[in-house]
Amino acid sequence: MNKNKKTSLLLHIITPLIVFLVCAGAILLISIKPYNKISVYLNLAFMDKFQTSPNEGVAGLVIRENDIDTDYKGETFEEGEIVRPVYGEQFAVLKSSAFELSVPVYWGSGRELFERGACQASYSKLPGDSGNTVISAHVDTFFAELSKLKAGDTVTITTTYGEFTYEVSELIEFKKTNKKYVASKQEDILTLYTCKKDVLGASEDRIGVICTLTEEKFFIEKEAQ
Amino acid sequence: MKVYKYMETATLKEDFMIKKLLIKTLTFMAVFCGLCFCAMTAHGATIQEVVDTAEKYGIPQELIQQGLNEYYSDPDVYDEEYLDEAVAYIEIYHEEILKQLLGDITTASTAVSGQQTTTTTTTVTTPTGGSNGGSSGGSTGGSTGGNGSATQDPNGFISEQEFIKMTLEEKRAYIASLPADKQQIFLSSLTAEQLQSIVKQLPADGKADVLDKFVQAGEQLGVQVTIDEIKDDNISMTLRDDEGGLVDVATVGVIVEDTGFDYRPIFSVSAVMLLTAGALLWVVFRKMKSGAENE
Repeated sequence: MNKNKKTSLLLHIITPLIVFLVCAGAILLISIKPYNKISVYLNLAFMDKFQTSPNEGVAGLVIRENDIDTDYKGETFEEGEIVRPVYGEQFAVLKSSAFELSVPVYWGSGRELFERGACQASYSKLPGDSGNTVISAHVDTFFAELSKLKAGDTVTITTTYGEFTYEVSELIEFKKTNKKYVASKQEDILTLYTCKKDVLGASEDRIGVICTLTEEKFFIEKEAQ
Repeated sequence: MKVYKYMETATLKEDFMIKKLLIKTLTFMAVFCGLCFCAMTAHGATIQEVVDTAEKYGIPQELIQQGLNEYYSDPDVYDEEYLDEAVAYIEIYHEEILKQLLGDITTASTAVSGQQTTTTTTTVTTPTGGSNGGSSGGSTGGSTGGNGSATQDPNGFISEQEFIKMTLEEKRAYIASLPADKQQIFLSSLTAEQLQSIVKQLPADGKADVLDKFVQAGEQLGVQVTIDEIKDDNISMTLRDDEGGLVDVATVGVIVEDTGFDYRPIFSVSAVMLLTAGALLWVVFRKMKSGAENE
């Protein structure tokens, strides 16, 4: 009788624990993808003008967001001034014919910036400047649909100083250790890349596209020297 | 006769005057040309020259841009003398890289195997005149780089990419294998990427010496440089203004970003939870089974 009571008590304690563990484990697994998707839209919805994160990552980083006019109707120029952004500043919006999302582009890189959008490596050339413009973003968030791009698709980058249209010319795949595609180039190209999708998340392989410049419009005319 | 003599004296006098004038004119022209030449050669560097020198020697673009921002914020503050000093600091940085590279070059030369030249006793004259401070070159043996089979330039040097791919020891061995006259040409033709590859491969103490010169060059460009991280394949640094405000984060060389979240910790936690649940379930079943058997 006493032994039966003991077993019954054990069942009463352990059964809810088992249910909890199974549910928590399963929820943790299945919530990864929706969480990433939600975090993208939450970040876009609650963009602040100034956000500081002094206690994490780069000390003193100030994240700035700009209102970029993607439907600029004013006068444009073939040659113009390039406004170099400050580290941590959102200076552009990237759009493509292959995906609907307008991706904010930040100047610099690092965990804090990757959480908020795509990042342009500050060693690469700004759109409008001659050379290789290198932009990357997380595969699970802002560049989740990068693999949808195919040759001939258009990519538009609207910055604070101009609008630049590119055409996808090459699909690329490379290892993290291969710096060939992110190195400086003579041609005016845009290189977009992200991680190759992997079950464990982080992958050593990268996929991306190389786009060639087809049109550039500057908002500010270049001053005569 | 007298008249003639007078005329002759007058002609001689005239000749003398002309000669004197000519000498004076030539002297003046020589002095003027000399002054012009001095003025031309001693002219201060322009901001473009500073930028060109920095780009040539592999100073990160971020630092160059911040230096430009600093300059254009108040160009009057940075006179020609200041820009001259900036160029000098950048050159000191460049010289330090070469000094570290060539530190132990005579011993490294023995590592060359199967390469075309036979200068094994070459002592490379470094542009700084200094040597040592780097790690021991060490003979690694079996060096495979630099066989010169790929695209070659008129001097017969290996391609830029081939040199970049070499290890530090292979680089040293390759340079040591060049004839003395070609070594200088090769060293002065090293590109920014090649110089950056050397910096990244230097041992910790060599890197520290080079980066110290780099920080000094940065300060001369008006930017405080703090080295944050030194890895084998990357050196990252933060650039701050005079008030300590973050202006940029730079890297020596290019990097491929980590663009994927690492889900392994989440998978591990989830697996531990499910396994614990499984184990508990097994305990419960066992208890229930033994209870039923006892009854």
